[in-house]
Parts: sequence; C-alpha cells; structure tokens
Amino acid sequence: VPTTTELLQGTLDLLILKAVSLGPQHGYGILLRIRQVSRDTLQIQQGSLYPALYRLEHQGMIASAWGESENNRKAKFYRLTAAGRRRLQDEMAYWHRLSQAIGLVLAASEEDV
Amino acid sequence: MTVLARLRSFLSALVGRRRLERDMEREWQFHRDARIDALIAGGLTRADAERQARVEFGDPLRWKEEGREAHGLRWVLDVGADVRYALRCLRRAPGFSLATISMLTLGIGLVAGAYSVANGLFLRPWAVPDSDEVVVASAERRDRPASTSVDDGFSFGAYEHIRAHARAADYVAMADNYLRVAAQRDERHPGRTPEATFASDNFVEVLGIQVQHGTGLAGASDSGSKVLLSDALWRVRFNADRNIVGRTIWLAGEQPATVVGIMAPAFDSLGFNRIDLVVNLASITTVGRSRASLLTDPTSCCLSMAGRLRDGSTVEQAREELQLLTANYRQSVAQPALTVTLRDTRPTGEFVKGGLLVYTLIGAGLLLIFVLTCANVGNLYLARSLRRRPEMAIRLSLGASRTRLVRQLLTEGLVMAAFAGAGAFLVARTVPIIVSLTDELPANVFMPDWRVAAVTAAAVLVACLLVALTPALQTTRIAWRGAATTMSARAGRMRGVVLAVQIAIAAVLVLSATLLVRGVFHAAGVATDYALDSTTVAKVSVPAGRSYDRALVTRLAKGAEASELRPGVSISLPGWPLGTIGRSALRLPSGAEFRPELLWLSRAAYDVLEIPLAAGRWPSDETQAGEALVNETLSRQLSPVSSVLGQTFTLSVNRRPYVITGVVRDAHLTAIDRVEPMVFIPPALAGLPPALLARSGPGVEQQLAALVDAVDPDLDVAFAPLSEWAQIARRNASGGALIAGGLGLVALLLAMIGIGGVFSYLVEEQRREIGIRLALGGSRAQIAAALARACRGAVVGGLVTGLALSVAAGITLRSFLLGLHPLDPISYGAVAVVLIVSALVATALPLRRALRVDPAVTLRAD
Repeated sequence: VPTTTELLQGTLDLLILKAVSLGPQHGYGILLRIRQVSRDTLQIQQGSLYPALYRLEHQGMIASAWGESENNRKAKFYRLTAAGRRRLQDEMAYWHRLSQAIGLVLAASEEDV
Repeated sequence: MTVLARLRSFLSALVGRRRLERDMEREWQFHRDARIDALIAGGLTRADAERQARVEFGDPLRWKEEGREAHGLRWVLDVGADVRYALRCLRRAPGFSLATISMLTLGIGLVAGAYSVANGLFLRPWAVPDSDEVVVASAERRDRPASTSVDDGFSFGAYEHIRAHARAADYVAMADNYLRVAAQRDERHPGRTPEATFASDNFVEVLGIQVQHGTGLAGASDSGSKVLLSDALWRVRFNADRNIVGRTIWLAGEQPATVVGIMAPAFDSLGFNRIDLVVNLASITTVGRSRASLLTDPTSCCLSMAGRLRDGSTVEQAREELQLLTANYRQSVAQPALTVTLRDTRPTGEFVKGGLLVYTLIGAGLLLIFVLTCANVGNLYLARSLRRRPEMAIRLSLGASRTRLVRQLLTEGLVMAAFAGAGAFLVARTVPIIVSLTDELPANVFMPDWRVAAVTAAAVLVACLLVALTPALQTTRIAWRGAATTMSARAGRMRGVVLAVQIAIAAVLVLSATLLVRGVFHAAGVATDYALDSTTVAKVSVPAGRSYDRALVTRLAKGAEASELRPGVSISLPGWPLGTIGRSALRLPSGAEFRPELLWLSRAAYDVLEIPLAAGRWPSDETQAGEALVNETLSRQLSPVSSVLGQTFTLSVNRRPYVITGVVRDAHLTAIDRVEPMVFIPPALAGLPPALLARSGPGVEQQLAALVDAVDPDLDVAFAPLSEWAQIARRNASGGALIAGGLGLVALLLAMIGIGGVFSYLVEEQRREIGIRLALGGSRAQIAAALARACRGAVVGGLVTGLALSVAAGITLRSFLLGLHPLDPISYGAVAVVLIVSALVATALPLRRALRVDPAVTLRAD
C-alpha cells in the first residue's frame, strides 16, 4: 500500500483555499500546511502549486502581497478574499456530499441492494 | 466581480509582464531556499540539499509557461508571435507585400473616403461641443393651404420674448447673409464672398464655440457692429494678425465693425451653413441692409433659432415650452398661431432623401470595387499560400494544429489589411482637404471622426476575411490531408470563381459608367432644340421695401414692345429663368385634371427662344383675353385624337378660364432629359420678379439695362445666360458620370490585373508541361489555345453574369440616364469590346512568356 496519494483532479484548488483560509501564508508554507494537516498523505509536486496559486489569484479568490517570512526573507503571502471564502464553502459542501456518497457506495452490503 | 478581478489581473500582467516574471523568479527562489534550509536541517549536505530541492520543484520553464497562462496572457503572446511572424513574411516578399497592401489601400480607402463624405452629408451633427443637447427650432403656419405653406419663422420680437422666458433651453437667433470683408473701406477682394451669420450676443456661449483670440460677442462693448472671424477668413484676409482683435474692419464695403474675436479652426460651419464671420444681430439693419423695421416689426420674418437644452430638460419639454411662449407672443401682437418643431442638428430629412439614391448607387459601386480588390488580393494570396505548402506541411507534422495554421494565415491577412487600413484612414483624411480646395462646401464636416474610424476598422476585418480565409482553409486542408493532387484542381476552381466574379463586377461598373457618360452626351445633343445657348436673361429686381406687382410686369411688357430689341418677358425664379413655378393643376370642363408645367411667356419670347408654332395661332398678350398655348406633349395628353384648338380649361394657380389658341413645338425648356407637358400663358403674376429675354449679342445687356431704367430707374438688373440652369443640370450629371467613369476605370484596371495574375500563375504552373509539349512538336498556337481554354469558362461565365447584372444596373440607373435607353445597344457593344480587348491586353504578357518557354531549358531544369 502506497503511503502517499496522488491528488484527484481539481482538488488542489480546494486544498489551497482551505490552507490559506487558516491565515495568510506563502507558497512554501501552504505546501507544508497541506502536508502537515494531511499527515504527509497528500503529496503535491512543489512547482505545480504556483500555477494553481496564480490561477486562483487571477480569478480573484486569493490576493497576494510581499511580506517578511519567519526567517526574515522576502516572501509573497497569499490571503483569502471574500469571493474565495464563498468558493471555499461551496467546494467544501460539494466535497462532503461527494465523499459521503462514495462512502455510502463503498459501505454497501448485499442487504442494502 | 470575478470578471472584473480577471480583467484587472490580465491588464496588470499585460502591462507589467517583466515585473510578473521577476516576481515569479523571486517567489520560487524563496521556496527553494526554504526547502534547502529544511533539507540541511534534516541532515543533508548543502550540495545534496540543493539538488534534491531542484528535483522536488520540477521544471521551472513549465511552471512559468503555466503561470503566464493562468494570468490569461497566453493568447496575447501567441497573437504577438503571429504578428511578428506575419511581419517577417511580408518583409521577405516585398514585391508581393507592396502590391497587396497598395491594392487593399485603394479598396479600403475608397470605402473610408466615401463613408467620410456620406458621414458629413447625412449623419454628422453640428460641430459644437455636446451637439446632442443642441436643437434647431422652426415655426410655421399650419392653417394655410398646403400649396402656399411657407416657413414663417421667428421674428426678432418673438426671439426676445422666448429668450427672456424660456427655462428649458437657452436660445440663439441667427440670420444669414453674404458680406464683403476688408481691412480698408471700399476695398474689394476677388473670389468667393464670405458667408456671414448675424447672431444674438449669446452665440458663442450657447453653442459652446471656442474662441482662440479675443472674446465672444457678449463680452465686448455694447455700441456698434461687432464681428467674430473664422480662423480661415482671419488667415486669408488678415494674414493671421492677432492684433486685428479690437480693430475696425469694413463690411459690405462701407460699414465699420470691430473685431471682437477669432473663432477656433475646428469651427467653420453649422451643418452645411458655412460661417466665415459672425456679426451681432443688432447690426443686421445697418451692415446687412435689412429694413430698419426688421427689429421692431412683430410680423417680420425669419430668424432661425437654435437652442441648447439646460441640465435635466428634455427635447419634449423644450418643445412644449417653446410652443407656449411662441403662442403667447403671437397673441400679444395679434398674429395667428405658429406650430413649433424642434429637431436635432443632423442634416434634415429632405436633404437626406434628395441625395440618398445617388449616394446609395455610388456606395454600391464602391462596395463592388472593394469586393473586386479583395478578390484580386485574395487571388494573389492564394497563389502565394499554395507556394508555402511545404512550410505548412512541415509545421503540421511538427504538431501544430490546423486551427493554429489558419490563425497564422488569417493574422497575415489582418496585418496586410491593417497597414492598408492605416493608409485608408489617411485617404479619408484627404476628403476635407479636397473639399476645401473646391471651396463649395464647408470642409470640417468631412473630417474623419470615430464613425469613419469604425467603418475603416470594419472594412479592414472584412477585407482580411475576404482575402485570407479561403486561402487559409484551402492551403491547410491540402497540407493536412497530404493529398497534393487534389490541390491543383480545387485551387484552380477557386481561382476560376474569383476570376469570374472580377469580370462580372468589372462588366457591371464599366457598363454603368458608360451608360451615365453616354447619357450626358445624349442630353447635350437633345437639349438644344431651341435657342438655349443664344439667349440672354435680364432678371429684374425691386429695391428693398418694394414688392413685385402686376403693374410692374405690364409696364415692362409695354417697354419691351416699344424697344427695337423686342425682348420677351417672363416671370423669373432662381434657377428657372423661363418662368415656370412648377406644375399647376389644369382642369377641363369635363372635370378631367392634368398637371403640366406652367410657363409665363410674352408673344415676343417665343421668337427670341425660336420656338415655332405647330398649329393654331399665337395668343394675345392681354391677360384679360384669357388665351393660352400648349406644347405638343400636353396637346397629345389633352386630346389624343382630335385638335385641342379652342379647348377651354381653368388653372388652379389663378382660377382663371383660358382657351387654347395654338400648339407650339416640343422643346426641352424645363429639363435636359425630357419634355414635360407644358402650358404657356401671358406673364402677369404678382409677387415674383419678372425677367426679359433677348437674343445674345454685343451691346444687348446695355440695351436691356437702358430699357429697364426707362421703365423705372429704381429697378435693379442682373444678367445671366439662359443656359445657366442647363449647365448646372449638365454639370451635376457630368459629375455623376465622372465619378462613375472613375469607378469603372478602376474596376477595369483591377479586373485586368486579376486576369493577368491568374493567367500568369497558370503559365508558371504549366511551364513544365508547355516545355514538354513544345519538345514533342506542339505548335505555339496550340499552346496558346490550350492556355486560353483553361480560362475560358471563367471569362465567359463572368461576362454572361456581368452583362445580366448590367441590365439590372441599367434599369436602376434609368432616372440618371437623361433620357438614354437603359438597354442602349451602343453602350453594351462598346463595353463588350472594351472588356474583350482588356482581357487580351492583360493576358498578352504572360502569354508571351509562355510562348518563349525554351523546351531545352525547362527539361534540363527537371
């Protein structure tokens, strides 16, 4: 059994939005946060995070500003916008419905059919 | 919201592309540094940590590409690359580029130039700021019989009343006049007399006209005449001397006036009403020599009035208010009510209607030329794209999609058309310069504006599609399928169709031009069936304050009878020296009604005009006798079989009974292209100026002047040749014929270029085959025949379609042909010959090249 999981198509945006919703963070921090919260299960190719960030920023879901990191280096920090917050809620609701449905299907026994 | 966010992000990425790339680098550098720190903390050496971090991050080039795409920049960069590539392609083939761009400039330039003219003539509002807030007021009495309806306009008193009480709009009053303008008293300048507008003091303020030096009329002192000069008049007459402001100049020779300001160059007219100078309205009685009572008489007429709506007012509110104020005023001076209308400042309906058909036809001709040009360029482009087949095939095999290649070829077309569009806009920019050279109309209304720019842009897009779409689809389809064999036949068919369209369009335009030109010559021949070119007209006018009465005509007639010259007498209107005031209802006792042209001529006038009697006898010059003549055309209408002599009728214009005593020979008295039914009665009409007609010759004008002087020394006389109106009519027709001829010539040239181009391409393509045939013993005549056969279908098809469409064009043009039959066989024959000769000339060069093919050289090259 593999210890890491490839991301499902389209879930990277949701993860980024969620990670950013916990507080402004730079790209590397977002990556660490996802990895830490998923207990190292979800692996993202590091560079691919950035096009996703730029796409979300282009769509107005997150906003960015240059700031200072914990080790005093200049880093770009991303924060959630109001539109991003709405999108996050929608996506989360959808994800819960989907995973519940999949869970139901997987838990089905012969009596349920 | 997200749309706005995307737009903002796209624009900031577009504007700050360098910054965007720099930011990405800096951001990733931070990421790698942080990762390297973490890996070193985990126990790796720096070198291993750096390598590991690079591997984990992935390909930065790919992320950068995706990053640009995420900002929506991808297509911009693609288009930029396409445009750069298209420019390189155009640079590589300078001859082709020059030919296509200049031809497209011609096509698009004609469209842009013609639209500039139409825009100025039909669409453009006055050239004042916020012209949509400006309204033009007119007032007329609606309770009069329709036939005598005149615009009663606003009197000075009415204007003062309106100006004092109106709340919905501010109004300015104007009256036009021609005024000589000079720096010295009684100084005269040759050329056009400047056009002056007498205007109320608020002219500059209400209309928002810019004054470059000095002030408006209101700012200056209250006494005396005040003048605002147009920029053009200021430059021409006063050498752009700024010190002229505040000085005295002379108007109409002897009236001093103070220059208060110079208007900005952009203002030279209100619509088509040219304004060379503006004079304060109060001076109209001195400078303008109007009756002194004009400013005080409540019934005096007619000031024109324009207003600017105040903030928050609508046109409807302003109209209602104006109607009310006018009614109040008219009531206070015991005059019947007027109906007020307000319209915007674009050219009025009548004017638009009058020119619309002519301009539609010219526009249709220009559109055909445009299509012809595009077809021609498309043909060249097709040939060139086919030569680029290997390049397309290579790009397709390297993984470019067909859409990508089509886009590339379309971009090339667009770049060519865009260059041509820029040239075309310059062509449109020359329209006002040309107009100002002719000095007939104010030039600024023809200055290209945003509408002209939009139409030029649209023409560029259409030209791009017409020129590049088919070649793009054809070339890439062939390369895509890799089936080069189908190409030749398909492309050949395409070229055939393009060629046929060109020939058809050329046929239609050349034939239309020929018909119009023939019409002018035809009319010049038929309109001289009387002494049109050898008659002098003396127009008699009364001094200001006197009116034209019956007695004046009678005394003139008596004087004419007594004179040795024996001039004829008629009633004269501007442009109608023969005294017709248009058609009048003629009623027979049976109740049948006709509408002939009505002419007032004395007995002697027929001798001067050399119009013979065809039947009956001359009528008496006595009005009371009630005798009249008709021409042959009216005679046929009144009584197709029996004689009209002795027939009685009444005329609605004066409600008098008449009896027909004679019939005169038909003559083109009122139009150069047709003989209208006419009725002639002795001259006796109040209210219109009389005229004397005499055979032209040395000393005639002096004799006529002496005659008029003897009748009444106060009368004024002006002389003009009778042919003046015919010359104007002929000049208008010649103008139309000239334009059509020009279009026809351009069309013919384009068609020749098209035929030549297609033929030489054919020769190039078959060079090898020609060489082989010649080597096998084929004669050069056979080769020529084979080449001609290849084009035969297209040429014959184009000619047949063209001639069929020409018949339709001829019938549409009927009313402009001045009596020439729309199926005039000479025109059709001439056009067929011209087209065939042109086709032969166009094919001669490539044919010569084909016949000079040396079989040895061709086969060796293989």
